[in-house]
Amino acid sequence: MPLTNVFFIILIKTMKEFGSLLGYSIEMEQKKSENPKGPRKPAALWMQILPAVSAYVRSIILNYHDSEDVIQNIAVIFAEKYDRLDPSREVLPWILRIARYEVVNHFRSQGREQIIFDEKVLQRIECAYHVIHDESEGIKKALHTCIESLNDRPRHVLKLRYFREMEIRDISQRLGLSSNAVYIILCRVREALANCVQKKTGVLWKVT
Amino acid sequence: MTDPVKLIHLYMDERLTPEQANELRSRLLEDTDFARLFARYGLLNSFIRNEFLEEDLKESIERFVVPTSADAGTNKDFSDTDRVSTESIMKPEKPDADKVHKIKARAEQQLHAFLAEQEELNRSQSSLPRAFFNLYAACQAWATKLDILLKRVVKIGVRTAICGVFVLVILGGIHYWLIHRVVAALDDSSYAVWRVPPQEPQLRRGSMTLEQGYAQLTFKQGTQVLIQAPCTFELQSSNKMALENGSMTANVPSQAAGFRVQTPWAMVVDYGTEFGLSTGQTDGTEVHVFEGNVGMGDATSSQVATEGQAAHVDQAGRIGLKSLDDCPNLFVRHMPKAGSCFGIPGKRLDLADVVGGGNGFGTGVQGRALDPTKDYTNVTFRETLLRRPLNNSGYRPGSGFIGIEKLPFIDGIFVPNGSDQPTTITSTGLLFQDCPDTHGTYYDGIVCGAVFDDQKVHAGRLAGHRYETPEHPSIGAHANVGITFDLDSIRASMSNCLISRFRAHCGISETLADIHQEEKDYAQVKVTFWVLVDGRINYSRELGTDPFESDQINIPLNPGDRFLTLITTTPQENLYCWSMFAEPALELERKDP
Repeated sequence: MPLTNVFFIILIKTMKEFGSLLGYSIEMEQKKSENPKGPRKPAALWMQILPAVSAYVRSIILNYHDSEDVIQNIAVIFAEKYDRLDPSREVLPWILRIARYEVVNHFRSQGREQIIFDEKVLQRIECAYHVIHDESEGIKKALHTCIESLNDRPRHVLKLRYFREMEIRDISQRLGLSSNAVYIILCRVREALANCVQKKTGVLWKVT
Repeated sequence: MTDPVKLIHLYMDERLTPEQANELRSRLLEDTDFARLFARYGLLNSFIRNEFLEEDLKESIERFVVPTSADAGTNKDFSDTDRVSTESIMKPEKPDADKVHKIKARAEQQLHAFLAEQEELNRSQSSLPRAFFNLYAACQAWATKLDILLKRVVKIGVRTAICGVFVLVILGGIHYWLIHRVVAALDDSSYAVWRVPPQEPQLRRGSMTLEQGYAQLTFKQGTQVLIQAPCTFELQSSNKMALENGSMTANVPSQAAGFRVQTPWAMVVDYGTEFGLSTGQTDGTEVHVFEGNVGMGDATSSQVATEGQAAHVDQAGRIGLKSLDDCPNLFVRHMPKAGSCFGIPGKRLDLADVVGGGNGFGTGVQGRALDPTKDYTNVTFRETLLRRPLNNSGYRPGSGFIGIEKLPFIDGIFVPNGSDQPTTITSTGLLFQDCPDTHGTYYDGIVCGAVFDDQKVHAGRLAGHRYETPEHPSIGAHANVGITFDLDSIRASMSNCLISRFRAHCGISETLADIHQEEKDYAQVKVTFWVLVDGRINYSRELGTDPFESDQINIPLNPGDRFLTLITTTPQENLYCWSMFAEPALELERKDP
């Protein structure tokens, strides 16, 4: 249910806003948890790994609603199993593996939907997410400013697709465009954002 | 080949053909760079979505929070599109200020829950947590708390156990070192027989028993100790020992001052000196200070004995001091060379040495004599004795029984003469009933080392053997004399020892013939040798000089026998009665505990 995810984001926001009232700062906690010797707080840790987990799940389960449900399940599992996790182990590979099981379970429970990737491919993708995890904070910050600089029209298309969760076909009907045109707009906008982010972060997204 | 970026875009928008899907799969499998690119676009997509979500959220909060405080009526000014956008987030209810407050309050609750490491995220069943008290959740929270607490307790327990084991190992090591460290070295020994012979010269803490002979130890701090058998002692540290029973002498250099010996009766502390110490299980502790000062005492009283003093601590802890001159030489101060002594602690006690004021193991002085007269000091030297005036007839008339208090091993001396009445031979008044008539005179008393003088002083000879060196001692007993040894006293000085028999070689010195070869006026000399135990005659034999006769005495002794009396008598005038007891010995045996 996307509503729970919305609630989750509200929660994070309010935590940041009201945390200072309680003499507690998320950033402080995150800094603490970055220190490998310091104790790892589950909330801060979850905030650290959430971008990678949600990106992973969202990139496999393309249906918005379904992907949010699966992310919620993973959050619950994380909260339950966190205590039993060996502190010397890295958290991200562990949670990504859990995410993989959840994703596979999800597709199995759906039955009719055929998964495009088998487990081997999923493992590769997990690996890739683990490797580029350090970049995620930079991408996030860069993207924030890059989106601001978008023109209204492409921004609107992007919003319809990513926020209203509309299918390309519906967008094309709403805007009076062909679905191919919408697809091209989406590709270009994403491309523009990718280029903008690469410029800002200084990391080139190249394929040999 | 499709452009990799295009492939990703097609996938994102679900527009892949089956062939392109296959291509995507194989590229993901084979090309790690492509997989990373895929992941980066995945992140980009995810963040774009979050950006819009957050942006929208911010807008909604601003719209609802600000008007609530300023003007609640402006709510109706919202456009339809905005209403739709907020509804898609906050569905299904229409949002209002109360709702926002509630959300904030709950968020705050959730924050608490996060900080407390609770598993409050577990809301898989319900979309929103209820505000009412949830018994099940509370139980679960408590169970979790208990679980964490138990884990901590176990962790602390394990750590404590590890620390405990560590500390135990260290303490054990220190203890082992203290117990097994070397505290002294065995330097030398002579005639030594140990109950448990030490395996190596390095001696560690522990108890030892020397059954026979001597042993010399040097403690780590420098104290040299000469142990005389029989002796049971315990090495306690590099400067401390305990003497259960037996005799020892200690030479304490200045750096080892404070050397301590614990005896059953007193603690003896030395301040850099030389001293002798003997202790028994029943008769207290005797300390002779040869040099420096020695302190002794127990918890209640203590006293210092100075050089030349002897101290006796009795069973009640009373300390008595007297001069060393009034004491026999009880202590062997230097390790005797092997083969150079007759008396061997634990094996054989030399009675000639006792006559010489010693302890029976070579501490006596050759030439010392006991003078059986009431007129002069009884314990003297032969030379002194011979200078004492004779009576009008040219003889030395003897007295009755004279106790020798100065020498505890000797009960007394006397000149036997049965002409008037039986001679008293012990301090307890035992009589020599069969004492023959004698002239009641003596010549040079009882002498440590039988020497005789005609033209020159010379050692006596029996059966061709001359008795003149320390390993072949003798008692000069020019008739008529008698001496009684106090066996109980001797026993008390050597706990764990039995006196099994008395042995001696007796006769008239053959040197008499060398001097008076032509005259043969010695031919009539006859001396009767007597050995009495507690007044009973155990041995008596008359030995003559033509030819020279000598005899071996061998008398078994029982633990109950107290007095051993040696007597020489002659019925004639005592001229040339060069009678002697050679190698007079008490054979010792270990008393089995």
